[in-house]
Amino acid sequence: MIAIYKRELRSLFNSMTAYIFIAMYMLIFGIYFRIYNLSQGATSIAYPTLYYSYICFFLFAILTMKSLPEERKEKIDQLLYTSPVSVTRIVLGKYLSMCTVFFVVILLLATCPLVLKSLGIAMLSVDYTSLLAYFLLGCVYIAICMFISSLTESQIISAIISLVTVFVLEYFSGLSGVLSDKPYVSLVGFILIAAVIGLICWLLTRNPVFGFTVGIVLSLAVLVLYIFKSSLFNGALQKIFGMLPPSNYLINFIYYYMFDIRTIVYYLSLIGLFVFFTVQTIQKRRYS
Amino acid sequence: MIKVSNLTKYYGQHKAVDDISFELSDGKIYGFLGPNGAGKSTTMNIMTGYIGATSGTVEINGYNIMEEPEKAKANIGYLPEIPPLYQDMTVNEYLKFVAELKKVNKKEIKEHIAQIEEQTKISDVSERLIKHLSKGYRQRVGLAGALVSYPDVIILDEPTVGLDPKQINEMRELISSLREKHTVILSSHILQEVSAVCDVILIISHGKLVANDTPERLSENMGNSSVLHYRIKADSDSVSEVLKNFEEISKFDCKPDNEAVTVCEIETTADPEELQNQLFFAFADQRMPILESSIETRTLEDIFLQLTGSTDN
Repeated sequence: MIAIYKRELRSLFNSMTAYIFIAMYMLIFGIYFRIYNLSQGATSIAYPTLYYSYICFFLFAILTMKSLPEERKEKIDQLLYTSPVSVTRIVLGKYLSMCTVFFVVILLLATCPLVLKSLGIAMLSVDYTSLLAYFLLGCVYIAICMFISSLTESQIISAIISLVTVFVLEYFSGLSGVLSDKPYVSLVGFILIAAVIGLICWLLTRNPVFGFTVGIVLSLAVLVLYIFKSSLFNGALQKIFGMLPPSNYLINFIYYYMFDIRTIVYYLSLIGLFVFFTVQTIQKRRYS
Repeated sequence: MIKVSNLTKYYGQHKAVDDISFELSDGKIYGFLGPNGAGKSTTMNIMTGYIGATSGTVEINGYNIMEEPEKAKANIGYLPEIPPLYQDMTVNEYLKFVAELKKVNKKEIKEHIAQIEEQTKISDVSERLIKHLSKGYRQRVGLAGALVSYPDVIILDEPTVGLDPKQINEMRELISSLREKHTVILSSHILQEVSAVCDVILIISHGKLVANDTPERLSENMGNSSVLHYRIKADSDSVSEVLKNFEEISKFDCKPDNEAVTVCEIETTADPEELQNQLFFAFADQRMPILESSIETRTLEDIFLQLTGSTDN
């Protein structure tokens, strides 16, 4: 695992990916820092700077797009999967190397509160606990994007799907606000979601009957629930979409100045889940 | 020791490997022979644990590749068809990475790599980036990677493809030198190559194991035969009468070409030119004019191709 970690890290820095990622991140964050903290005089980088810098999350697609698809395409994975190292360790080695690059960003961001302190008041403890949670949030996105990259051989497709996923996760809660909170709107939304789940099942198992059955059963369940207890559907779609963005769980750290252990646990679970999914994707491909 | 039992692999509906079983003992060089798409690479990929089999088991030194993959894989060095090289690393960095992957003792890595580089004759390129190396050198770096940690079993998938004749000879010598300490399995679609270095040949065709024997026994069975083609101005029955008297002829086939002319195909393992002389006098005695006569020497390759080509019928 350490061998893979070291190799991946060297590769990320040799191929400029890491530098581009760090530079772009600092550039975008720097603009927000300049506006909110230096011009408008906010004393903390937690809110609003970190909170509104979620546009940077697009960059995780760039960070994760190379490793797994390239190895698969060039058949270098034959070396890794025939060596006496388990797939979990291989994936963890790669994952930790990408997290390390993001950690460099965090280290650079950690200088910002010191800049503010030199200019006057700063809220160091809030900023640093927020940065910790923010680091874990980034690691969640790296895990999600790495999982997406394990599904394809093409770096471009990996990057595009990762971008779309980040967009959906971060912006859908905002977009869902324009929808009406009438129950039937939620009903339509849930049936659409059921159809999408059915479609994903079809694509993953290559079994149209199974995908179709899953879609139909889920839609019927939603319909039955709607008929018997339609009050549940009042604005339900908005609620679900509101729960979707992982960055929403930062709010206790950056806005209410609380060290919320639930957020940490939630992020760590998501990381574990998506690393597990990545391992399973690779295993499934080898054994099918 | 390697034991493969009832290995079967489906890609969707396509059966790539069809119920293959064999046992390989230590210290020999084995050759997988078969035309492209016969299932050689798939079998090797399953044996090394890169992909899983649909059914059947592989045991390497007593460890099942599915149940105890890490122990089994520790005994294998694998050079796939395309050497799995990171383009952005130097040869030394790459070999060090492979050594760490294979858990070679940290203190010994440097010495170990130097030894392998010397053995595969890549010491002079050790500081160069792999993307700047030629095909021949890449192949050798790939082989060096397979040799790292000196595993008991070394599996090479078409190790000489894309090399020039000199490099092919060097590669063969190198593979032969591995015999002392390792069991080597290599694959090829070229018969001469396999018969030059291997102690035992396993022929695979359409996913099935069709032969498993030493090269000597195989060439006896497959025969170094030649075929003589004749056009004779006589009817086919009387031509057959003449041919029957020759013990050297293992098989013949006579067909009337038109009313007066017979076309013959004669197989023999004896010296074809000597037979041609004797046939000339024999036909002359019977006053049968020979219109045309030619010798087709069939190489082992032709017979091998015939063998592997005809098994699907």
